[in-house]
Amino acid sequence: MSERSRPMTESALREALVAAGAHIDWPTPPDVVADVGASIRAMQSKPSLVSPRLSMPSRRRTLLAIAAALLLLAGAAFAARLVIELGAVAVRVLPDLPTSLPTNVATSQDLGREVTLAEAEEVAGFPLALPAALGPPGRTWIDEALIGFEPDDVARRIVSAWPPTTGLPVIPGTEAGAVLMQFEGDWQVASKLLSAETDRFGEAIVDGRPAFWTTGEHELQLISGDEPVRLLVTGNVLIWQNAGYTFRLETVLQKRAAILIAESIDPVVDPG
Amino acid sequence: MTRRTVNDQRPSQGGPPEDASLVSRARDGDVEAFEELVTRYQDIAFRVAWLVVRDRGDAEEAVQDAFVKAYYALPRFRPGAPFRPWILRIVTNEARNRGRSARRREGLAARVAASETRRAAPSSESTALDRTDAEALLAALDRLPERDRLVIAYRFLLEMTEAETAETLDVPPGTVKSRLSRGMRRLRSELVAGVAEVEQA
Repeated sequence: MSERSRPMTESALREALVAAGAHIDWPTPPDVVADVGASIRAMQSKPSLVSPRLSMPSRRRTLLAIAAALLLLAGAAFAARLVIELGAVAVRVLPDLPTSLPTNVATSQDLGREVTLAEAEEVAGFPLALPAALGPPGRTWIDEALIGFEPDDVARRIVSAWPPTTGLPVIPGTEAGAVLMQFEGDWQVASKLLSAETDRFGEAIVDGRPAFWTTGEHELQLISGDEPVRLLVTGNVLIWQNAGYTFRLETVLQKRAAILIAESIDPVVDPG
Repeated sequence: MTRRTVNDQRPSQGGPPEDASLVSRARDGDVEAFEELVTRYQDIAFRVAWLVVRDRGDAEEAVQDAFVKAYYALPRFRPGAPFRPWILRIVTNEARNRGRSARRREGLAARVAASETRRAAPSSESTALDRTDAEALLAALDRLPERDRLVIAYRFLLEMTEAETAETLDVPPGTVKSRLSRGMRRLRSELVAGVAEVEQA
């Protein structure tokens, strides 16, 4: 073995790596200050502004990208024990406390394109189901996940948010008192990661059907277009299915109150 | 031409308190204070993102989106905690969300400056390693799995501390130690294998 092919000592290798770093011709960093500031100001002054990055997916995206995104969801749940699959939402429990909770709760730009209630049904192509107990939502978004080869192979979801009130306290880190997601179909486009603290999740019944209930911080992963988005959930969540849709309601209310809201979706939507 | 370097953006005196002051003002809605934080950390953020995605466009998007998300996550930022590793963790997560696209990724070795004039002001260490050796070392690093490659790159190429590397990668400090140990073993093996191949050729 020649001199060069002899293994370096650990300390020599560390020094060589630091030195190698100085040899790298790094790409010139962009100046994003103005763009970041403009994005923040635009969102503050126009709450309904749609983030261009999170607009409807472009037509050039391929199944390869979709598969990659879905694989990422599976990969993130590595070593997790599958607890339940409820339509569009899979819930997995990690054997230990999570070490990698996302730092960001959902913001407007994470939820898709903001629309009016009328636009939501028109764009989604299915009836919007809203709980009578909460009245009309303050804001509504629509987003879609690619699920096939063709541009129209998408599973859509509508997200509605209600502002906090005395009876509907704010969800920590957000500006909402309640957030309802309505997923179309059974394509698994959302995944929840929980830790194995058995007092934080369990079963529930909504309209006589099995449902899932969880409390406290955990991770929610959504497919937006072909990209997974990791979000921190800080509220209590009820998940149930009805008439071919999966619903996810987040509040800080207790289980019974959340179920009452869920059961106030009447009449139950029926895609026919 | 003046080049910005990634480690000269930290305030020279009382860094963390000054960051804390800017964070506090930004939490109260002062966008200009947040822009000062962006100015301070955008260069290191870009390198952190680029090491994940190896594509300038993807890295720029990741950095930009990470800062916007960080602004809205400020109410959840723990007062008194260092801002830099917190923002770099968000940047890493954003970059990872983009890291699976089909775009061609640039290799580290390919970025080794071909010309001395294009290189940043060399440190004393850089003179101890010639360009060929640097290319060989970075090519070997490129062959490692991402989890080993990133921990080594953040720790040594970006000269983060172990604690900062842990926070940026969102793993416990012990995990950084074990990944570094395993990664360095693998890197040595890759390096020897690469040199042996060249010698045989």
